[in-house]
Amino acid sequence: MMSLYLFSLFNGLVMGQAIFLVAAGLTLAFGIMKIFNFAHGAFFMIGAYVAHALTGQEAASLPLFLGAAFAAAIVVGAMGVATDLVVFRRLAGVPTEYTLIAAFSVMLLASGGAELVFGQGIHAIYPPAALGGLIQMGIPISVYSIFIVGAGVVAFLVLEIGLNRLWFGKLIQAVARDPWMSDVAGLRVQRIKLISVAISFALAGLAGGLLVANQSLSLDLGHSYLLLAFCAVIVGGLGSVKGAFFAAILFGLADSLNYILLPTMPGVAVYALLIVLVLIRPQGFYPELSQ
Amino acid sequence: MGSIMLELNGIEAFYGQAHILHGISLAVGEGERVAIVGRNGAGKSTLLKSVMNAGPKVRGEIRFDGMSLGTISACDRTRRGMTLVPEDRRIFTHITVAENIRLAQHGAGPGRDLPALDEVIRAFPILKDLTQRPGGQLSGGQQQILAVARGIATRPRLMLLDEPTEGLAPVIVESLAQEVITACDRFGIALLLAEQNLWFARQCATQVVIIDSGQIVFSGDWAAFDASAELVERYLAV
Ligand SMILES: Nc1ncnc2c1ncn2[C@@H]1O[C@H](COP(=O)(O)OP(=O)(O)OP(=O)(O)O)[C@@H](O)[C@H]1O
Ligand SMILES: [Mg+2]
Repeated sequence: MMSLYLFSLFNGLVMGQAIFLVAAGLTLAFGIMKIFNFAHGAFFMIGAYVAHALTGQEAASLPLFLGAAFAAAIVVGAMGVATDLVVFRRLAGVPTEYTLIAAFSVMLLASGGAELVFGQGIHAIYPPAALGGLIQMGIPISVYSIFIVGAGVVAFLVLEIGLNRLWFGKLIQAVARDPWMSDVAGLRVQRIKLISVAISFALAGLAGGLLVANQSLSLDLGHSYLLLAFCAVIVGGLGSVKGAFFAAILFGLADSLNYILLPTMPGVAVYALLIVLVLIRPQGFYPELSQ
Repeated sequence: MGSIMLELNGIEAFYGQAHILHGISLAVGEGERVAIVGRNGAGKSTLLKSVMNAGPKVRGEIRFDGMSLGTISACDRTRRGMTLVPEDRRIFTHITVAENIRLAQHGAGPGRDLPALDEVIRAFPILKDLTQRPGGQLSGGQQQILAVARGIATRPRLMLLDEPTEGLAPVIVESLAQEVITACDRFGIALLLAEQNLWFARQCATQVVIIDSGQIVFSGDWAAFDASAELVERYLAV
């Protein structure tokens, strides 16, 4: 019984880090553009397909697996550049309803494009041999799930340090917090936004490449994570990486414990948690970028 | 007065459908200091933002160093040597005082002989022990001084300074006037100051312009201003 809970807690942690990998780019995009990027899940899915195209069903080695994930990040990041130049940039100062519709149509375009290029098939993907095994730590734990937790934590630390310690990160935050003053102060606001959107999309691509193993890869891949990632972004405080990180862990745990505590009602814990947290703290954990 | 640096010809400014400024023409010489005074809502801030192209839609001609600015962005105007210190301060709260100054200097672009942080702080001693404090942890008055210091730090050729005295204690207003004059003289900065505090305006500027409902109703030096007490009564009394 004890080990069941332990197992569930660990699974929740893994799920939480997977959610965070998707939520990280989403919250960054919101912080910068005040756009809820519905297309994020579609680009996550495209990242997974790109990585799969490079490695096949099972990457031959860990470096190849990681290389494919970074390649997916670069490809999807480039799509972010195109999306910003063609769509998002033109929406600055337009009422939010329009930007929501625009993001929605980008999503339709991206999923439609993916279907044309990658087809409708469903692929079973496995992690490379180096991440394939199980280890016993009281409970059996897959090496791949430890890898996911590690990847989530590394992504979190890199983003936190990058945004709060690096000068360019501080400039990104300046633009996110006060684009008007940033422009008046002489910052190249559009360029900084473009780079931020590219980073946000690249994170989606990277997440796709990293999370693709142990999943069945299909056009629906984005959906399962996207909803939980949205929850994490909202509860974390729109635009906050730190908030999304902790909220993602909470939602991962809720989702995982749900399976053993309320097996007949899958998913209910996530919604209950969302409602409770939004009622208690409607502004989110770290609201500074959410206006 | 040296050669003309900033010249406005028939400026009209709009917020959406609202027509705020009507045919504003004025000139600021190299290193000259001009005050714009007028009641709340007269259009002072709109005028400064129009010069900067930072908000209102503007028609008419703005020349800076003899060149017509056309639709050049606020960012590029800053890089050409203007700086706007907005009335709401707009200090970045997530970075320190020193970093706020550094950010402004970064934005000013390359090729300017920028003063070192120490020199900026010496010009505004209130900031002396605050350099490492996040902007969000300053009082309103400290933020106001930092906003002015941030403008000076870019060593602009022209500073557009919007109601710097608002919310400051009288003794701080006195020292700020001295600091602004000293810094402008030292760095060769011309000043276009929007102000309701006539004492401060008189300290800082040699020329004064009264605007009312978006129109210039008086323009001259302080002697002429004092000679038209009835104008002052009509346009500035509350
Ligand atoms: N963003 C805006 N949208 C619409 N109207 C505006 C906007 N900003 C200012 N106005 C209007 O323009 C007019 C001039 O405002 P402005 O802020 O330039 O006055 P001001 O002289 O700076 O006043 P104050 O001394 O109160 O700062 C006012 O009638 C104001 O209501
Ligand atoms: Mg004003």
